[in-house]
Amino acid sequence: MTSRRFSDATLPLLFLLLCFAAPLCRADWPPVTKEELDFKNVPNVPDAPAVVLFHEEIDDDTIHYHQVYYRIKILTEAGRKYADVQVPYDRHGSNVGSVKARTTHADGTVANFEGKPLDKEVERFAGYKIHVKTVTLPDVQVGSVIEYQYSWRYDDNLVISPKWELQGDLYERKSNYKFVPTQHEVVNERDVISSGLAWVSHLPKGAEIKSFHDKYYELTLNDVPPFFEEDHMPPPQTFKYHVAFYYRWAVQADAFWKDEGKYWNKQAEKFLSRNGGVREALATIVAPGDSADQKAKKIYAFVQTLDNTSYMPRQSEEELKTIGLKPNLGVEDVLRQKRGSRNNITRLFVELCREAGVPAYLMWVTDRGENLFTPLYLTTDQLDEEIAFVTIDGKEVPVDPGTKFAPYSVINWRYTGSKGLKQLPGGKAELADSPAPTHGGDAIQRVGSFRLSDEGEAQGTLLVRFYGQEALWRRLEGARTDESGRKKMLEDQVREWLPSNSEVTVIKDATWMDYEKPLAVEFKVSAPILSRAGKRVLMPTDFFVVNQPAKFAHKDRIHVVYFHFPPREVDNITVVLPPSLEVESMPTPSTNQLPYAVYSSKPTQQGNTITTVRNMEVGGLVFPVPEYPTLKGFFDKMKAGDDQQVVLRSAVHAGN
Amino acid sequence: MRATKYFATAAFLAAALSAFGSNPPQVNIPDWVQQAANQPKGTYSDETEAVILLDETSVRVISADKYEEHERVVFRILRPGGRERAIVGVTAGVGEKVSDLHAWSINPGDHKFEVKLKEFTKSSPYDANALYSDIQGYVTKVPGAEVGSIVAFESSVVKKTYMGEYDWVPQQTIPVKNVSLTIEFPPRWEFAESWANSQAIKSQQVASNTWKWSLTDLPAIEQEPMRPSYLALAARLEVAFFGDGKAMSGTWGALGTWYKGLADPRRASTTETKEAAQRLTAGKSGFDAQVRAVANFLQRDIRYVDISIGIGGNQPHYAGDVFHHRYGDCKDKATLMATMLEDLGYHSELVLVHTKRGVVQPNVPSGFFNHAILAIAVPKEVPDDAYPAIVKTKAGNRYVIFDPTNEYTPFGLIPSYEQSSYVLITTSPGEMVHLPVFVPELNRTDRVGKFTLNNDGVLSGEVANRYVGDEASDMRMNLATYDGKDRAKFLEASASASLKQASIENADFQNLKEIDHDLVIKYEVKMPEYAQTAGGLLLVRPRVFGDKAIHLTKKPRKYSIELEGSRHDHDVYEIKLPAGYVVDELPENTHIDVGFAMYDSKIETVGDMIRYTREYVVRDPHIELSHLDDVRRLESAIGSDEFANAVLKKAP
Repeated sequence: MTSRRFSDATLPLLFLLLCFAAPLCRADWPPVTKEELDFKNVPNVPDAPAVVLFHEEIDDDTIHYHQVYYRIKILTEAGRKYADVQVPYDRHGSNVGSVKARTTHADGTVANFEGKPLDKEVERFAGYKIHVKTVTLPDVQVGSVIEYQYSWRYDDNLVISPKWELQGDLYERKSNYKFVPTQHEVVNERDVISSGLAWVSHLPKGAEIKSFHDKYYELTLNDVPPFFEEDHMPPPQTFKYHVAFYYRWAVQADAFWKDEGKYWNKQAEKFLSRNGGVREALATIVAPGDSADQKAKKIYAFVQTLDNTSYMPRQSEEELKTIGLKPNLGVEDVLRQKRGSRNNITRLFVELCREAGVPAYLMWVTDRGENLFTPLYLTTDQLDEEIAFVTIDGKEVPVDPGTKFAPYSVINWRYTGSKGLKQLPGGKAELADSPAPTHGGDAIQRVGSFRLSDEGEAQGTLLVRFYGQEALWRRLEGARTDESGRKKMLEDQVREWLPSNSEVTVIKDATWMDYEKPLAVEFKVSAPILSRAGKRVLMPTDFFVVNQPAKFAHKDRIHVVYFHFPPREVDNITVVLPPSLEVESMPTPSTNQLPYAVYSSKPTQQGNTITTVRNMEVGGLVFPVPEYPTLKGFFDKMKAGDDQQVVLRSAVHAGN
Repeated sequence: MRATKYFATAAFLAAALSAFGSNPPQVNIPDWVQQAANQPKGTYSDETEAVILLDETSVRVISADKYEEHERVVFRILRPGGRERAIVGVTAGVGEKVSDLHAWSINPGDHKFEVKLKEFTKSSPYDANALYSDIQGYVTKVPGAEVGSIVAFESSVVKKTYMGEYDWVPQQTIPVKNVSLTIEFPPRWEFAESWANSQAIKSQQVASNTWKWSLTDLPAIEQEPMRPSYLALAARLEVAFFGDGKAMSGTWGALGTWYKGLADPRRASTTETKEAAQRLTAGKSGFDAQVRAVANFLQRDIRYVDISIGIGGNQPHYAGDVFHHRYGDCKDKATLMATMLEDLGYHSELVLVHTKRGVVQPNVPSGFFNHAILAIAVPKEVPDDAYPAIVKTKAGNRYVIFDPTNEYTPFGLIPSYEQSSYVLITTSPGEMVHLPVFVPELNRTDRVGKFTLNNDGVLSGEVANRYVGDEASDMRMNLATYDGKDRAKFLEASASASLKQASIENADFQNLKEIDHDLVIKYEVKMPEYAQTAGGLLLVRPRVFGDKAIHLTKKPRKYSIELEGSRHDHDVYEIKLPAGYVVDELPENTHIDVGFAMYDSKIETVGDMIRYTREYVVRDPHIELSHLDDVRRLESAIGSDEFANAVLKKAP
C-alpha cells in the first residue's frame, strides 16, 4: 500500500473551497416529475422563495473527486437569485469539470444551459490561483425547476474528508450524501498512520449515516427545514445539522487526547525551554522577598507591557524583516524582541513564573465565541488559544496574560466555560474544563448628577465605570484606534443610551491603560428628557435606559439563549428639578426576581431632587428554549419598570 | 477536511525562516516621494485619518479609444483608520494593460519598504451587483503603513475609453495638499473641459498640446448624516477629446448620439420578442394597458443579472438574447423593453442616469452615469398629466420615464432616488432633461389603528397600513427579502422603533405582488405595559406608531440635507379608554410648516376614545444648509409631539 500525504500548502485553501462550494456529474438529468412541477407550498415556511427538491453530494477520496447536484423549485421572484451559480476553486491543484445546468418550465419544456461557464481568476497569492466558474441559468421564472451539477477534481496526493452542511437557507425535501474514503493509508505530519475514518454529526431526528462495509457511507435526509439565526444564540454552525468526517489517528477518544496532549505539551515545553535571558529579566521584575502571589502579579504586569501582536495590525514577513524582527521560536525571543502573539506572551508568563518558583502551566482551549468543544471530534482543530494557571499557596489561579488588558485573574469570556487540553506534571496533558465564567463582576455602573433646565434639558455629569468583561472588550476595541477615536467610541455609546439630539462630551478621559482598574470615564451630558402631557410634563426616572430596546422582541424562540457573559447594570441617577416644576406623582418602585435574575428600580423624591437607584443582574449564560418565555417576561417587566415616568407640573409659588 | 495543524505550522516556520535568513532588500525611495514627505506636517482636525501630500496624474492620449494613465500618489497616515488607505492598486479590463506598479512606504522609525509589480496580488474587485465582470484588480497592502508613515504609489496603465472622455476627481474624503492632472493630446487634437462642484480651474499649456490643471489644499469631503453623495460634492473635471472634429463626448448632444449609435443596433426585434409583445398585450388596447403589460413582464420575468465584458459595460446585449435567456442588466432590460414596445408601435429611447441625486449636473456634460432606464414616447391622445413621470424635451416631445430594473415601481412612476435628477435621453443629438420631484401625495402612507387599552396598561388592536408609490415600492422591496414567516418578525422589528414589546399576529398582505395597486398591510398587535401608572394616573402615548423625526445631531453641519424623497404620511390612531378611566389632560396639538416640509397633529377626546391624527408632508427632499434652523425646529416639534402623553384618571 502506498502512503498518501497532504500537500500542506493547499490545506487552508481547500478548506476555503469546501466552505464556498461543495462539490457531480450525471450523464443524464433525472426526469422532473409532475408532482415536483406542481409543488408550491413549503411546510411551515409560507412564501418561501424556493425549495430544494433534491440535493446530492458525492465525495470520493479514492478518485479524488467531488460531485454536486441541485434541483431547486423557484417559488417567488426573490427565489430567482438561486439561478446564479458560482463555483470557486483553486486552479493550482484542482479543477472544476463541466458545469451543466438546465431550466424546466412549469409546462414541462426544458431550456438547457448551452453556453460555456465564465471563468475568472479572482485572487492569486502565494502560489494559489483562485478562480470562479459562473453560470446563470436561462429563462428562470416563478414555477421553474432549475438544476445544475458540477464536479471538482483535486490532486492525487490529497485526501479530503468532507464536512457536510446539511442545513442551508432553503427547505430541502430530499438530499443524498455519499462519501467514499480512500482505502490507502493516510499519514499525518508526524508519520502516524490513520486508524480509519470517524465523524461527528448533528442530525435530524431519525436520520442515520449508513456504512457499507466501511467502503463508503451514505446519508439520506427528507424534509430538512431551513436554518434560522437568532440574537443571543451560540455559534450558529454548531447548531446547524452537519456531518464532519475525518481520518482519525486514534480509535479511542481518551487515547487520542492523551497522545495529542503529549505532543502539544512537548511543543509547548520546547518553546518554554528556549529561555535565555529569562532569569536576568526576572531579577528586574520581582523582588527577592515577594510572595508567590506578588511574583505572579508582577510577572503578569510585565508581560502585559509587551507588544501583543494578536491585537495589532498584521505585519508581513517583509515588514518584520525590514524592522529587524524574527519569528519567536522560544520565550527568549519574546523577551528579547519585547513582542509576541497572545500565546507567545502566555508562554513567557508561564516560564517566568516557573523561574520565580511559582508553579505555572498552560491550557489550550476552544474559543466559545466561535465554536463549542466536542470531545468525540478527535481533532485539535477545535482548539484555539492558550491561557495559563498559577498555583498560589496551593490554590490554582487561572490567568489570561495573552489577552491584552485582561486584569490579573480575569479570563477573556471566550476562553471561560469551555474545554481544552491542560498541562499536567510529568509531560502530560488532559482534557479539562476551562475556568467557569464569573457572575456579577462584568458590569456597567452609571452614576449621574443632573439639573433639569426650564427647557427640559437634563444637564450634568455622568460617571460610567465598566467592570470586568465590559471593560475588557471596550479596551480591546479602543486599542484599534487612537485617543480621539476612543473618545468618540465612548461618547457614541453613551449617546445611544439617550434620546436623539443629546450632547455627550468626555470631560475626564478614560483610564484606558490602567487595566487592573475599571474603565472609568466622566462625561458632560445635555439631554432633552421631558415629554409633554398637556400642562404636565413627564420625566423618565433613569433616562439612560429608557431608550434601550426590549432585549427580546419576538415571542417565539428556536434556539437556546446564550449570553457571552452574564449582564449586569447598576445605576444611580439624580435629577434636581427647576423651581418652575414640582412633582405631582412618583412612580412606584419596580422589582422582579427569578432564581437566576434580579431587577429593581427605586425612584425616590427628596424635596426637588429625584434619585433613581436601579440594579439588573442575570446569573446565567445559557437558557433552554422552554425557559425563554420566563426570561423574556423578566426583561419585558424590566423594560416596563425602566419606562416609568415622574409626573411633573408647574410649581405653585406663594407671592411674588 | 483532514487537519494537519502542526505540519502546516512547521512548514510555515520553515518557509518563514528561510525568508528571514536573507538581509532586507535595499529600498530606494524615489525623490518625488521624499520631496512630498518633507513638506511641513500641517494641521488637521482630530478626525482626519490621512492627508494626500501629492496626487499627480499624467495622461497621454494615444488614440480616440486609448490612453496611458500614469499616477503618483503620496500620503501621510495620521490616524489608525488611515492604515486602510495603504491598500492600493489599479484595475484593468480586457484590452487594457498594467505596465508599471510600485509602492513604497517610510515608517516613523525611518524603515523603508517597497512593493514591486510582481508582488501585487491579482484580485477581482467586489461588486455585489455584478455576477461577472472582466475587470481585474492588482492590489497590495503596503508594508510599514502605520500612524506617521508616508505611503507612496505609482502606476502606469494603458486604458480604453469608449467615448473619448477623461474623468478626474481630485477632491477626496481626506484633505489633499497638491494635486494635478496633465494631459498630452496628439498634435492638432482638441478638447473640451467642464468642472463640477468647483470653480473652473484654468489649465496651463506645459508642452505641445499638453495641458495641466493644478489645485492645492483641497479640503476633505467629510462624512455627515444625510449629506448628498460624495460625487455630488467633490470637485470633478470632465475632459472630452477628439481629433477629427467629431466629439463623442463634451456635449449632451454628442453623448446622446454616441450612445444611440452603440445601443440602437442591439434593439433588433426577433420573432420571439414580437410574439411575446403580442401575447402580453392580447386583449389589451391603448397605450397604458399595453405598455403596462410589457413593463410588468420586464420587471417580473427578466431577472437582473449583470455580466460586463469589455464594452459590455456600456453596450447592451442584443434584445433577442436578453429575451431568450430571460436575464440582463439595466441597459439590457431597457433595450428589450424598447424593442418590444417598438414591436407594438411605441417608440422609446434609452436614458442614462446616475442613481445618486446631484452627481449629474447639466453644465457638466459627461458619461458619468451608472444606470440606464427608458423614455417612452407619449402618444398625442395621452394628456400631459396622465403620468407623474412625463417629461418634455425642448422640442416639445413627451416621454414617460420608466425604470424596468426596479421591480417594484410601476409604469408611470419613478423611484425617489431618480427623482430630481438630471438624465440624458439618448436621442441623436442627446438631450439632458430634469426628472420631476413627485408631489407628496404620490408617495403616501396611510395608517389607521384602532386600539383598546385595558386597566393593566395593555394596548391591543388592529392596524391597517396603505402604501402608495415609492412608499409601496420600498416596503415591497423590504418584504421580498423575507419569507412569509419572517415577515411578521420584520413588522415586529419595524414596530420596535416605536414600541418596545409589540407582538404582531395575523398579518395580511394585500397586493404584495400587484405593483400597480396600493400595498395594504393589516395586522393585529398587542403591546403589554403600553400605558404606565403614575400615582392614580394612567399615562398613554397617543402616537402609537411611526418615527418621523429626521434625527440630526447638534454638531455643526457643512453640507445640505438630502432626504429620500417627497412623502405624505397620514396617521389616525383611536384608543378606547379602559373602563373607569377618563381623560384628565391631553397634550397640545402641533402645527409647523417650514416650506420644504409640514407637520400637523391633533389629539382629541371622542366619546370614550382618544383620537390622534397627524399629517407629515415632505415637499422637497433637498434642503439647503441655509434652512438648517428650520430643520431643527421641525425636528423639535415632531419629537415633542411623538413623545407626548395623555393623562387618564379614575372616573369620579
